[in-house]
Amino acid sequence: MKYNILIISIFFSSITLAQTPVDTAKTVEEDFSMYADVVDAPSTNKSKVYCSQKILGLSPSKLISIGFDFVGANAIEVDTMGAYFGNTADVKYNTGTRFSANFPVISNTKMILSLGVNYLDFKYTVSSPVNTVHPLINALNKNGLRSYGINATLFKPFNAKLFGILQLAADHNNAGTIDQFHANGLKYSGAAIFGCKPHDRLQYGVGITQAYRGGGLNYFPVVLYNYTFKNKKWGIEMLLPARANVRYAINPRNLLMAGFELEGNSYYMDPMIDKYNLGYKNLQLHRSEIRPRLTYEFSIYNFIWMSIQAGYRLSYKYNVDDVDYKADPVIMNNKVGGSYYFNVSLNLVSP
Amino acid sequence: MMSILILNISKAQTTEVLESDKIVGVWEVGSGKARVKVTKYGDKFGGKIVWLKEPTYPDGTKKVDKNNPDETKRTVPLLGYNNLLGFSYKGKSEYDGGTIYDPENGSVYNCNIFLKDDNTLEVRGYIGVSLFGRTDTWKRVTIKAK
Repeated sequence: MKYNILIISIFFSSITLAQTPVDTAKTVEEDFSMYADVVDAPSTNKSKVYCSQKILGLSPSKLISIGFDFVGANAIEVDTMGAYFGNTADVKYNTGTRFSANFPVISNTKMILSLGVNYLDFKYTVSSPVNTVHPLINALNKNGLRSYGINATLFKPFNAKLFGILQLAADHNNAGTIDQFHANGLKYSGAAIFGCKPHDRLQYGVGITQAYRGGGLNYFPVVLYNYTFKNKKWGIEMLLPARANVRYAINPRNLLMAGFELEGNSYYMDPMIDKYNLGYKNLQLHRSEIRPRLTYEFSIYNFIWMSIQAGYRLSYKYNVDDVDYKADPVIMNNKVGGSYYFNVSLNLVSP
Repeated sequence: MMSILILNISKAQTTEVLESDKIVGVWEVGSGKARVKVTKYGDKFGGKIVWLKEPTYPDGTKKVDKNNPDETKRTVPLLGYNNLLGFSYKGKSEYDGGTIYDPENGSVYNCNIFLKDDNTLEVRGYIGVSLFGRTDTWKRVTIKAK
């Protein structure tokens, strides 16, 4: 009797299974036109569709990036500072390490929130030791410049075309060692952009930013413009005034770009204060440079990409001042010569 | 007593099968640019593109998988393309172990799917670990009866 019930149970289970409304993935010639005619398609209701963060053909954003910077021989003309006369320091070369990681902690149709960390150092190898007597050259030659921080970026689409971007960052910039933390080294920056994505090959926006790319703290308008031409081979990627590139896609995994980047920051010069009795409390080096360049980005394996960049570094600002002493802000008006540079980085790129 | 136990087990198994099959149907992706028909094959689930908002290029030819890294597949039509493969139902409305293909850049991602409700899918494509990914919300569409 028990076995009969067992068999009946299995039999009825099988019937139920057979009646389950499943389809198979077998290749059957289908009339795809039937799928165009649907009831209440979400795409017909604009409020339910949100634009994505990217446009077609855009160079991939980097989730994790580790890179190496090399700048060729250049000269720094340093200004007189107290008892230390101005002179020229010959820099054999600069080297730098760059690391950044961005984690999309929330990433869905309605919102993308990424949290990131970054580290950047820039070392100076001065060829004439006699010049290292000067406090600024001594500080640069000893530790170089260092920046590390955290950031958050929010991309919020409002509907199928409009979106907003909010970015906030906190960095610690100084000329000391990595364990020398000082409140004067803290810098805060941010940007807010309101944009439009009329179609899959264009997005643009305008906004405002608080940034140190010009060396000191500046507020300026920001313009976002990303466009891919109809042939998908050429494109423009701009986030002015920070960077702009013309892009040529050899194929979707091999990209050539020509453009520039404005880089800069304000560094707390702790070694100049700690070692020398100069009478200043908050000496900041305002460094800003423009880098016209060519970039080749390509996929090595799946989402692991390499970027090779070569260009010229033009110094825009290299002043030192005591930001707490407002009456005469610029203490040293220095000049840095131009030089060629290259950068190579290995990147894990975004899906 | 034993019979009741067997009947309950059978009922539970049947319920699980029905739960897992709720994913079967036609879904519209978050951007509204494509519809994907999810089907069951064996004990796995997959899907193929059955509708494109823009099914042709400006010259009128049908869109093909021209960004595929495998050159031999670049002439395969996108309509009918199997872009979801190898999903297993792991319970609690979750499907994992599959992959999703993005024809816009020719990339294959690991993928998990969560059936949020009967008419909403959360499809997460990612690289390596789920943290490096993006979730797209798909909505079920109903084909009009002819």
